[in-house]
Amino acid sequence: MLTLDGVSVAYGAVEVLHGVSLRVDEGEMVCLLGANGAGKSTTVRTISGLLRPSAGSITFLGERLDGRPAHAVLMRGIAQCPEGRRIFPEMTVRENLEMGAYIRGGEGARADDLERAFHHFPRLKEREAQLGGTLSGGEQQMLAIARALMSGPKLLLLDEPSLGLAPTMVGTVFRVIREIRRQGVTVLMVEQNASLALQMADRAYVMESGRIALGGQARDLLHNEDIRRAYLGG
Amino acid sequence: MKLWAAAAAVALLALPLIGVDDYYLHLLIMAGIFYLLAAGMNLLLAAGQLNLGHTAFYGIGAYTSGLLGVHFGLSPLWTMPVAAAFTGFVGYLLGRLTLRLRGAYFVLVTVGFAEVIRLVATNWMDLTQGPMGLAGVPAFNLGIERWTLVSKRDYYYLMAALVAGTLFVTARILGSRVGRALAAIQSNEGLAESSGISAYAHTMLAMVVSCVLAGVAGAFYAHYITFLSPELFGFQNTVTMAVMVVAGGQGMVLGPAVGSLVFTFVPELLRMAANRMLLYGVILLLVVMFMPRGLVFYLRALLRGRAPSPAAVQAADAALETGRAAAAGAAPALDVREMTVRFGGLAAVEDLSLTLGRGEILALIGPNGAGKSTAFNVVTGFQPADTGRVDFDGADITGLPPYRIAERGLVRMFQRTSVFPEAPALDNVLTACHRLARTRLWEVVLMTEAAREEEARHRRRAQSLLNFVGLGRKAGEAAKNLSCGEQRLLGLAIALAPDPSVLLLDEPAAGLNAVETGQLMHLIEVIRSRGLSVLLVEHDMKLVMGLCDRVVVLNYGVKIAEGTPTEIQQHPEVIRAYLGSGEILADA
Amino acid sequence: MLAEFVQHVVNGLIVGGGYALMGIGLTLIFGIMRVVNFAHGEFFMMGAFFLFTLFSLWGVNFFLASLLSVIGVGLVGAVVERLILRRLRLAPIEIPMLATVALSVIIQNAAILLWDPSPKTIKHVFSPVPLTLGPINVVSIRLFAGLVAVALIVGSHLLIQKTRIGRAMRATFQDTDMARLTGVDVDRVYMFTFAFGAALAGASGALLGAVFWVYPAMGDLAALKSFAVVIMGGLGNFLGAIVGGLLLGVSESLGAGYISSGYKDAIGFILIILLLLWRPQGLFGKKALPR
Repeated sequence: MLTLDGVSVAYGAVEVLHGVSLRVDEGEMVCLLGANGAGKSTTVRTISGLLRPSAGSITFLGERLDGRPAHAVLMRGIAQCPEGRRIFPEMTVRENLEMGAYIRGGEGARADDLERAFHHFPRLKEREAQLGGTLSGGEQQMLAIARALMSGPKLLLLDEPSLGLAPTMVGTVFRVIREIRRQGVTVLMVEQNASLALQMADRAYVMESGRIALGGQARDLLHNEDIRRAYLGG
Repeated sequence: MKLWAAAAAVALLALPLIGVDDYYLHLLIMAGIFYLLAAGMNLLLAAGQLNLGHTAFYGIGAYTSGLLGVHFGLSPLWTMPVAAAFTGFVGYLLGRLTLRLRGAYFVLVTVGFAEVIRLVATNWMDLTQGPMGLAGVPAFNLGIERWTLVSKRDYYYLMAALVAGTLFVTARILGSRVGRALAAIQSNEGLAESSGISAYAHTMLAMVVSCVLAGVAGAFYAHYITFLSPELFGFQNTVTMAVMVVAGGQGMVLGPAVGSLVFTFVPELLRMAANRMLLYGVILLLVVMFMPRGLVFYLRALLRGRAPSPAAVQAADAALETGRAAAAGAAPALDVREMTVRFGGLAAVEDLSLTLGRGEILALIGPNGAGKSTAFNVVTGFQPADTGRVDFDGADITGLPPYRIAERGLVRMFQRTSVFPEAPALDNVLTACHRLARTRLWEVVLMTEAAREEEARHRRRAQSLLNFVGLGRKAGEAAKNLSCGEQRLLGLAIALAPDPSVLLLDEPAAGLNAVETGQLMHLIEVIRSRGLSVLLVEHDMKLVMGLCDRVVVLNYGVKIAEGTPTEIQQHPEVIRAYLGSGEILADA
Repeated sequence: MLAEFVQHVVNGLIVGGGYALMGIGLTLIFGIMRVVNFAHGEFFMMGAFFLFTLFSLWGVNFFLASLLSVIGVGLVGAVVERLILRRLRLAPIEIPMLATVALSVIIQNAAILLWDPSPKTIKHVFSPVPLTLGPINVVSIRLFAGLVAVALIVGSHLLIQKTRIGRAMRATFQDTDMARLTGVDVDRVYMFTFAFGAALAGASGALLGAVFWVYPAMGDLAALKSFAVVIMGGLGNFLGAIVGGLLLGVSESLGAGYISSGYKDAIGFILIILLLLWRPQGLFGKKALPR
């Protein structure tokens, strides 16, 4: 479904991604792991169209995506739930969801889309008229995911969904992600919480210093000593 | 470039002697007046602040000197300096009000200020005679019959003297550590502050100098034209000055000079007096769109081909002079007590206490969002804490501004970009030597023996620091052209420049490969062996485990573990925090 | 006594409405695009001159001419953004500022060439006999100007709060990258914002030009006042611009009535200086776009 082939990205004169190659097949959940600064978020931002690769190609459903602007990538069916959630703070929950459906045109999100969102995330229905900035961390994460789903994407990019959330909230969020998968959405997830991520995913890649260092089936990596070493050294 | 300028100067000085028409002398005098104005604007712009109300100071200088002359009969010999000083003072007052504002706010308020002054000048008839203008301003009369300026030629040479003086002063300021400080403030203010440069003090200095220059220009105008009207305060003048600064070349000494000559003569010679403003507008637009760096910049590039790297400074060694670290006392290098920082209702850091021993390397680790950067920000003065206290070398530094903390010897290296991108590597380190300077401003401007010696000493120090981190041969390379690893090493050299006793390193190994990380580790070891104490935030576990004496682990803003690297590696809480426990899904 | 006071206030509110329109446009342009538009006064002036040309010179119906003037200024704004400002998007902040300064000079001097510098009046369709509403007298054209200003302010609020493009603008203001990720074409939002801001300024110019008079330099003072309004209300703050505009209008009117009409124009800046001494972040503090 999604293929990255030899993608390199530079900030000015400094290259931060060096020849990254990975793939995500339809219906899968793939995790991108690695320590901070390894290049995980950069990879995801490049897929979304916020960054332009200096080399390599990105192909989605047969079409080249590298270099296309963010809204074109969204139109093709890739939605991103970015690191730090990035809820529009001065917009209500409902308006945030409507922004998720922005790409679909029209004056407002279709009523049935909104209903479906509230069905999956009942907490959000309660807070429909509240400003996004006043929600708790976990609620914001729900909203961010719901917002990303409003565009009806085929591939969902999740960047560190557990960041800054209390352990119980993390559980809730991951349950939601599992539910989304059951509905047939393909997911590429960047996570720091490797153990949790590997339990849910089909396959995973480990990044280090802007390159893919390891890749394989999730259950194999779960018990792999290399992972532990990559995170904790020694 | 210098040769061309010198030749032009000689030619200009000779003009009246070869019988050039008074009309052209007048134009040159006006160009000179505008040069003074543009030079001042340029100086403030070097610090990144655009003063679009500058014409107000021009007018204030003119009216002050003029009114003193008209009402009290004082000679311009006295009224000019008084007017200049007064204008500088008004600039100081406005600066106090506005320099804490940044960017757009500053521009808008200065524009508003000029407008108020214009309205006052127009309406306060008793003082200024309003729109009818103030006539009868005495011409230059220095009290001695022989020294009364009468002919154009006399005024011309007086103006030439003023121009020469301004050129000298601005060249000295921009070429010295003050100029470097201004450029640093514009380029990366946080880094400048943490190298010991006070943004406010330097910007204020530029403001006052630029206002004094405007005051001199205005006073000269008053006694030259001998008639003043509130038109002096019009926005037209500001536009003219702005064109001269930007089209000439901002931030450069010769920029305003070239700009003022070109933009006084070109419209005149085209005899488009009626449409002069339209022409200015079009030129400004084209310059801004296509040549934003200005004429001098592009001319210089043309004449020189590729800019030559400054000759590598003679520095025998790659030694690390650490005066302060050696002289440290008995108290722990850094002592943080019960620090708490809240954002809204959430605690980013909760009740954190840690101690950095003398000569120790301590790591602060934890998952993303654990509060590490926040803690760093508080310690270095970039953020206030809600409760808690920070002691440095036994003294309380809680709440001090960043440049003061840096002055005392606690220096921080920022995440990722910790350099001044446009400047050459050597200048980067040289700028950071700022707080070591002992000579005063007047010594710098007059280039006394002491000032020159200090500058040379700092250059040698900067070069030896570059040698120390392994960048000796890249001294002339612009920082932005260095690789990621090299920029990191440069950032380290910058952090070492102010001779700190404690270094705070924020993710120094981020984005480096294994070889570069090894180099970095070696350098930090050497730094420690010279007596510095190091506190670092890191994610790269190889570095942490291989280098550090002790480790403190944060999670959700709370310290969850503390100990030696080996202890931390096996600590169950730490493993859980980093890798996650997986239990969370058990009850699904 | 009271009647006189109320009269001043009413007059002040009407002019204040015009200031508010200018302020809204300027604050939106700064809040969303981070550009200080020094040509804002010239958009104001263009609105007045377009109306003068269409109505007084070419005889087009007054109301149609007003509408076309506003649209015309909006189009000019769109062209300026597309050809000039877009190119300068990534430059340091003083570059686009200077570009708009240059534009203001060009437009103003072009106006002097196209129409001469002498002030003109727009002889409008309303009767010059004042209407009497209770203790106050209002000339019909002023009432018209006031009502239209109110309508436009309310309309702007609705545009920003209720429409798709309005949501896109707010999203761009609050988090530009995230707006891109939800499919907003940020280039188009910038162009629309600039055109919209220009159109509001043009409307203000047409209205106030019809009430007072029309001359090429009329934008200078209007621009400075809108700067004052925006500083008072906070850069990027929609509500602040409205309150600031009305406040300025009323203060000027009272000041001119009771103190001195010569210093009337300085009142705005004196207010700013006092305000900044007290509250450096403006009346409404931190950024809070369209509510």
